[in-house]
Amino acid sequence: MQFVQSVLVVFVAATAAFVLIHSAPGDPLSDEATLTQPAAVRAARRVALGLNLPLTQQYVRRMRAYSRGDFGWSSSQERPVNAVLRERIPRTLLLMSLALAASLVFGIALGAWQGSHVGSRADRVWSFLSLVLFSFPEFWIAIVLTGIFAFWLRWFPAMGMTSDMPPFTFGARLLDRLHHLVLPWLSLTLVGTAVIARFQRDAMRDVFDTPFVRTARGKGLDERAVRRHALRAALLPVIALGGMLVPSLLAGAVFVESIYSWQGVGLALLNATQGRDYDLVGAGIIVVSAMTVVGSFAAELLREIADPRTRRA
Amino acid sequence: MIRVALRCAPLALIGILACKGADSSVAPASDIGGTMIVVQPEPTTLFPPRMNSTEGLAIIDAIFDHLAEIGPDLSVAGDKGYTPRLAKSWEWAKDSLSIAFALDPKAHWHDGVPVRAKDVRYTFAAYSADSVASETKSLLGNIDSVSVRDSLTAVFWFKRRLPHQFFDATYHMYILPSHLLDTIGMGRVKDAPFGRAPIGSGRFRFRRWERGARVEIIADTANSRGRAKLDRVIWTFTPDFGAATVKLFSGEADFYEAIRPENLPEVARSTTLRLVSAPALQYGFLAYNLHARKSDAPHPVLGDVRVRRAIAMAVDRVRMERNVYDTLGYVALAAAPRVLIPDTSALRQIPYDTMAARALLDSAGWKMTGTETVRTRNGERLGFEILAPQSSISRQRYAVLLQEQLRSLGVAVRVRVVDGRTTGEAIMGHNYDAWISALTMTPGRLGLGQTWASGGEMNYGGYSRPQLDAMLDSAITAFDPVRSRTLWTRVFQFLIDEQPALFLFEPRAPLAMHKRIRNAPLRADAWYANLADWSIDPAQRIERDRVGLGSAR
Repeated sequence: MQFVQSVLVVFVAATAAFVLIHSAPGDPLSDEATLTQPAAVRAARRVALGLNLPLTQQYVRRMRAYSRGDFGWSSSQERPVNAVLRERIPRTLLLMSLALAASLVFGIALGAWQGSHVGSRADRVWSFLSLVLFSFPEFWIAIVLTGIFAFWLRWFPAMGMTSDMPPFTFGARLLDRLHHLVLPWLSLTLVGTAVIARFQRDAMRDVFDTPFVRTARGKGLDERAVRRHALRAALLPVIALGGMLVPSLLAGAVFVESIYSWQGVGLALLNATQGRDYDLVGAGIIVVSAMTVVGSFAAELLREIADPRTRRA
Repeated sequence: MIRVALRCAPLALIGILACKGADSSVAPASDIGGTMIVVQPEPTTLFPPRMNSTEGLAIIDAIFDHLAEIGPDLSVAGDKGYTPRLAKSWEWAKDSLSIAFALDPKAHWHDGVPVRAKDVRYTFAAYSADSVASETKSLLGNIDSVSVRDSLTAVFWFKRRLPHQFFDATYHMYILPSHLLDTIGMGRVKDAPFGRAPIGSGRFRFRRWERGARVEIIADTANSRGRAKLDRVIWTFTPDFGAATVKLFSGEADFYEAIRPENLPEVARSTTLRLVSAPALQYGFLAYNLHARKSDAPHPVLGDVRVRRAIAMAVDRVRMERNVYDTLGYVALAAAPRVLIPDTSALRQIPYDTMAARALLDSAGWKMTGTETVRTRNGERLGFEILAPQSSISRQRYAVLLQEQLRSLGVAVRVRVVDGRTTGEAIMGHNYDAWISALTMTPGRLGLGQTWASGGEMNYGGYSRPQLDAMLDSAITAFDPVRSRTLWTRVFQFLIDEQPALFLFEPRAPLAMHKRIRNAPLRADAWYANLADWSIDPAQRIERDRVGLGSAR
């Protein structure tokens, strides 16, 4: 049933994307730059892209193609959309998964520590910092980080995924890639960490008030052991939050990829929207909605592992 | 004093440009090696028949060859000034209706296969195929066919004897390797992987294209015309102008073609960059829609030549050009950049005369009485809308200046800044009054017909005068240089008098490049035309110049 629901979600997203992008002014061949093209050339290209067909027919054709796994032709990149996605998805997944993992690790650790030291000066400082980070969008943080670390300190490159003159050994190339990854990763991670830390802190504080913690303490259990048990109980809402964080991270990735020229799905989607690359926009929306659905699945699975009571028969 | 200094600053800048522009020298043999990084937007394909943007052409021109290369004077009449490329020589038929090109037997594709006449025949077929939808196809209309006389001789057959036959055969088409493409089928060739990893015959060979990041080409060390002096050229792609300038000023890039006027002082102050004054074939104008929106009826305001002439009289184009480009542009004289106008001194401009402009509008029935600020005729206000592209600050400034200058004449101008798609849709749908356009012309004046002749493919304003069509036809077909000059002058004068557009500016387009780079002479139509002869000063090499070809992956 959940699978059917997921397919339905993706279908609705693809339909909405189709309607919205076709409602925007212009089409892939209406750019000012194409005014120098002879009318016959424009007409031939319209036919090749199927833009001469009625909108309903274009829609049916597109949906049929999706069902065959064919995402169409990218008019802005002059190559199959499948090739674009094959290239771009791993890059976005790399950035997102590293950011999500780091956000979870740092957020849970920070939140758990704060939850155990509620009211302390350090707790107040961290709460203030996480509130500040939580309040700013990823793109603003990305711009600030770029200003500090790329232009002022010059520690990291301002944009791109690799250097124009990359080193020639495998190890050096890996380091070069990591060097370029730091700022985009940090931009996403800081916000994710702040969100999770705030939730984790509150969850820990709530759990410390529950009877089983009081009982454990009453029985004289070591405080570290008490915190370990409390943390496990306090993880449940945070795990659910982790799943919900996927769409938020994806939305952030669009801006972060754009600012850092990180050639992922987000940047491709943004450029495709500006270029009215209908097929690529449609495919990008499907990918993003599919990632969101998978994120929700993963969160539910983790919740069931962490809390056997939530498992279904 | 400050005012004097500020006024002199642009002049000083021009001095720098002039001096530095002359710094193009032929590099000695020891100048081999080095890397140049060019920053620019990303092209969509590297398949030559589908390419018309400067960014793609720069890369393609380095990888592929023409049969012959146009001379620095960009003359399109006959074959004077052309230098051999893939063709080592050529022979005209007695009736001038065919040209036989003898190919260089030593020329090879980068995969080692020799270049043969069948490649030339295939190239013409590809550029002409409907399924390829090449923008160049319409420029090849006078070529009837290409035949193979023997493996090293390709013969171009023409429909008509025209002065620019040789130009048609050699300028528009980059020769393609038929052995790699003719098995694909013309219907699918434009989408083939070849367009993403091309194999050519030029002095540079394609190395890699990392989508969204960069294209790398390296010197073809086995090239029959000698290897390129640079080891490699990398085109690095940035999403916007700001990112491009960051790369240039931080030293990550060596060359930027599209530097904006506001960044020129920064380049002049830089210790590593220099400005090179480059000729250009671009000009800008206020293009009118002479028909009512989405209609064939004359435009209620701009369809009247008296109104158009009054507008030309009412705007001070010199001041506007100074305001927008300062010393880095010229006032456009006519419907072409001055490089392509054979006799600029013979042209009579419409004078800047606001009194005459008012009188002309009065006589056309557009009157302004009492406290009115906008002229009216039969209850209709004299006004129109100007579209200005979001992507060009210069053109937006022109729109605002025009609005302001025409306000005093009693013309209500509304400026709408729009993105490229909205502009394109409005122009193609004839749903506009006027737009600030900029056009880059090809050598010769052949593009004038496309823009201004009746039914011309780029004649979006619907301007149509049989006299001009006849004049254009005569000018294009004139063989005698003196007569050609006279006829072209008549064409330009007719367009000035008729004002189907208000000719505004010609940007001088300086290029910014690293001081260690020694550029070959720059051609007005293509700065990249002699890229294989560019070099790096051995005394100024930096780390990336020392990588060499051997260690490249």
